[in-house]
Amino acid sequence: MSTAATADASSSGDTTEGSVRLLTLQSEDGEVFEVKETIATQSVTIKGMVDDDCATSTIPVCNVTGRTLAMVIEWWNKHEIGAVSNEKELKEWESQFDTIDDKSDRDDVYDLLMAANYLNIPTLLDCCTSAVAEAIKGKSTDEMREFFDIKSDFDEKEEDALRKENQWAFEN
Amino acid sequence: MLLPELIIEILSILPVKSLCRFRCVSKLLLALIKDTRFINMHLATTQRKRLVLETVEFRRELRGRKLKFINAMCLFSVDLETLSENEDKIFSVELDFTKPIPKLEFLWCLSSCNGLLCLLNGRRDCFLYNPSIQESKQIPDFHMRQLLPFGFGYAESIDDYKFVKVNHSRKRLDVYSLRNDSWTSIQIHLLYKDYKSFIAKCSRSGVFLNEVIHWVSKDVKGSFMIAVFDLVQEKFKTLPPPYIIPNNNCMYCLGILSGCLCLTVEISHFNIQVWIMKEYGMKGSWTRILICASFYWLKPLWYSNNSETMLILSDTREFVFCNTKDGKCKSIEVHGMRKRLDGITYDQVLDIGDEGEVEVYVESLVSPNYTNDFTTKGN
Repeated sequence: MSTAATADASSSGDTTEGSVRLLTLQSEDGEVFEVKETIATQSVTIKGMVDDDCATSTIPVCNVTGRTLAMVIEWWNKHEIGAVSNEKELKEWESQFDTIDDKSDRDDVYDLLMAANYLNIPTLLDCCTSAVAEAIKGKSTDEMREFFDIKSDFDEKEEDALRKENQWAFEN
Repeated sequence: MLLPELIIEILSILPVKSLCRFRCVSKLLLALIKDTRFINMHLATTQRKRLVLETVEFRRELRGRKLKFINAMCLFSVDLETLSENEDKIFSVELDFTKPIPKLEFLWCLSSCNGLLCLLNGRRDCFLYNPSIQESKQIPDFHMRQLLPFGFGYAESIDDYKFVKVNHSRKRLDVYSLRNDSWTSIQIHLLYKDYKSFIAKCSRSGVFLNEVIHWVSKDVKGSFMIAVFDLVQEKFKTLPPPYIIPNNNCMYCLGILSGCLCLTVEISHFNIQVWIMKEYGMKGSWTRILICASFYWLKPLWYSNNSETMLILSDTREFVFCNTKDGKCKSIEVHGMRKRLDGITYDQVLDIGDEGEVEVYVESLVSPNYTNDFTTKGN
């Protein structure tokens, strides 16, 4: 394991260096990334392919753009054992996901969520779901509709009755 | 647009209050948040704990045409998730019952399970009430003249909530099923051959864990034992107690701490031990987590996971943070934000009366009125 931690993925075009294997991932829009196997196997999906010997050629990562895949790889690098010196530093880095202020933040987190779901990366999935939950828990019904792009299908009477029934949930 | 399963994942970690508000967003969200599978998923992932306190207060109330001062028992709630051992006071809010429960001055909390509180009012009517979603249901034909051993819990494998109580005059154990919304009755000597000593020595309030209600009791020889009633099989069993030097004068009390069965033992005056059963049913897993010489008696309430601090209710009815490593204790006051009749809000220190109980409950979406789901699901 110690060789894996010191190997530098970007310095080599070979698919192996020492005992570290590099995997080639291709995003939906054609961008190609070379990632250490020890890092990429944080994805349960990729780990399954490696275990079944199906990761010998380029792995197509459909539904995930190059921009998002780069973010996922950054996540993997930060979460590799030994990559970040302490828990506090990691928490600080993760805290950038905590605030979803504008639409572009939201779209980034959505893209990461979809990628984490597709590639089955439990830690990233947990982090993103918590971030979205934190962002929406205080929202009003209208803000919620906007956030998830939901149209209300209640008529005015129905909505009034429901609001009355749940009135305490609208109070501070 | 996110995948529906991801939206469900996100909603399942939201606070109950947010979810009740989001019922009004769309028909799809309303149906989801009322769905039993989602309610169970939310309960399993989001264990936000609160305390319910019985407090005594004098209040002015309009009776007919007269304004009277009455001594009333009220229920307050404290959010444990925001509680920190660095504070010296905690805030609580009064539970609002004006709509769902006729209160009649007194309201006792008998027990709680999955966010449902079992409440008894001054007329000895029993209600299942979920304060997080403000829904209640009265248990029909609830006759409990004296408080004999009772318990309330959830039988997960048959998806049913049950209330059990000893009926001394008829020598029976009465079992209420929420699924059937009715009572059945079992002759207690068929369940438990030493039932007389069980009833005489048994604690009143049963403790629920793992589909089973637990009581402390004594066997015919007078030795301490843990009697349990299985809510699924409807049978009595026993659980092994920890090995404590046999002393018939010890006092025992059961509770739940961090999802484990917990036992408080008064070995002698000002010598209290708290034990937890780390692996359910395993005698060898009983572990002593606290020795305390500061109090005559205590009730463990909450064990913070990331530190060594335990919140307890002391014999003087005070809330105390207790460090399990060095035994240091710190009292905290409970404040309630109350409104006076003239509309001025003031801060009041709450008094937990001599009889006032304190229970831990979780915030949940579980409705006491979900019998309709049962019938569609059963077939």
